[in-house]
Amino acid sequence: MDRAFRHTLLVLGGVLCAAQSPVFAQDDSEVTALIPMNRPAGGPVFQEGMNIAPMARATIFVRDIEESLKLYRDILGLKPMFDNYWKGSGINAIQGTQGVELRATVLMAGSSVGGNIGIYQLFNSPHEAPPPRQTPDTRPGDFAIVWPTNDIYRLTAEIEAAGYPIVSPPVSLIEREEYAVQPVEMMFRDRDGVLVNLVQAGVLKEDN
Amino acid sequence: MLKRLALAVLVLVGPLGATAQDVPDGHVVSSMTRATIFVRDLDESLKLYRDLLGLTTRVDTFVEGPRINEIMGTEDYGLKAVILQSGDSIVGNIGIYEITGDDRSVVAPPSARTDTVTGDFAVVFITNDIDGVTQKVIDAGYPLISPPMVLFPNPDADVQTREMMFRDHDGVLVNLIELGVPKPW
Repeated sequence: MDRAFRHTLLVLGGVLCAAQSPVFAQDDSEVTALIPMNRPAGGPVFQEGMNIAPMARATIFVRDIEESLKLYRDILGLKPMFDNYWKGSGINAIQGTQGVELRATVLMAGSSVGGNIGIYQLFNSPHEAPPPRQTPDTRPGDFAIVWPTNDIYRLTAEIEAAGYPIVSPPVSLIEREEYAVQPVEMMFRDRDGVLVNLVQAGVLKEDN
Repeated sequence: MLKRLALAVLVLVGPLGATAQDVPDGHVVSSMTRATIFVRDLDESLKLYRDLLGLTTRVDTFVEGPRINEIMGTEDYGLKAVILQSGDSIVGNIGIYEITGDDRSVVAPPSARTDTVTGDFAVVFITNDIDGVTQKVIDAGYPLISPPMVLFPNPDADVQTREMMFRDHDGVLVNLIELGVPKPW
């Protein structure tokens, strides 16, 4: 058995042992909550004339969910809203797949119905994923997720130490006189090649 | 040039001054400002996200110069950048960016698969008109992954939550969800 696959099974086995009892639908669908649901207060807001609410989440279908959580949960500090394991015809129908199982985790900053990230891993998929793009530049076809932060330099050091490809260190796109501390941003790629763009607001001078 | 650089800040730094997002206590990042797609054809993408889904334009600009290339890890390219939002929200926006003057390797064709595979990206929106939007998506010829359907029936719901999924012209999955209604008792 492939070492990485065996590792995934061991980790997943451990998680499932700690999970709640699965819930079954009338068909063969089954969902197991690996952690208790941390439901945010409120719901989506449709402003007048809109049929679409702000993006609930960006979801990435990753190669190794535990590896992804090391970044998004452990380094960026996002908290889980839910972490579910899906089986059966329902999840396959929505995904256009057959016989695939899904572990789906959604992470959020604080408690929010919008602007979250979904980290999903498919199991039993017959398709092998291509190698992720790990180049230190930006290209058409890329997908980026943008977060404000208040700790960009420490995060950058941690991200760099963990070996993620840095596209840009923290830079200020323009020096502005009214700022005592300039706004800066940095960008790197996660293990699946997704661009992560961290931005830190500047601090205005006292007389502004 | 100065005006262009100033616009670069608007595009990429976004949350400045009065519009800056607060980072929640105990966190080092706040909710995602936006997901950005580096598209092959910006105008084609706007037909979907602006015209069909009805998101409104927050930023629409062109940026060039050394600083924008530094943050992108590129040299001598320009960037056409549009940021769309629902209402006036500064959280959960979508960026539609097109790199111009790109003479690097030919862009791989976008995925038009009608299934979901590892390596896919999805943007997930809640809608209040899943049937109406789906019809428009079908009429416009986007590859449908699934029509509106109930993922997991809820016995306590008067109206079930339904969702559908399709791919945009860059192969990005778009997942629309219409929330159900609980029984009134």
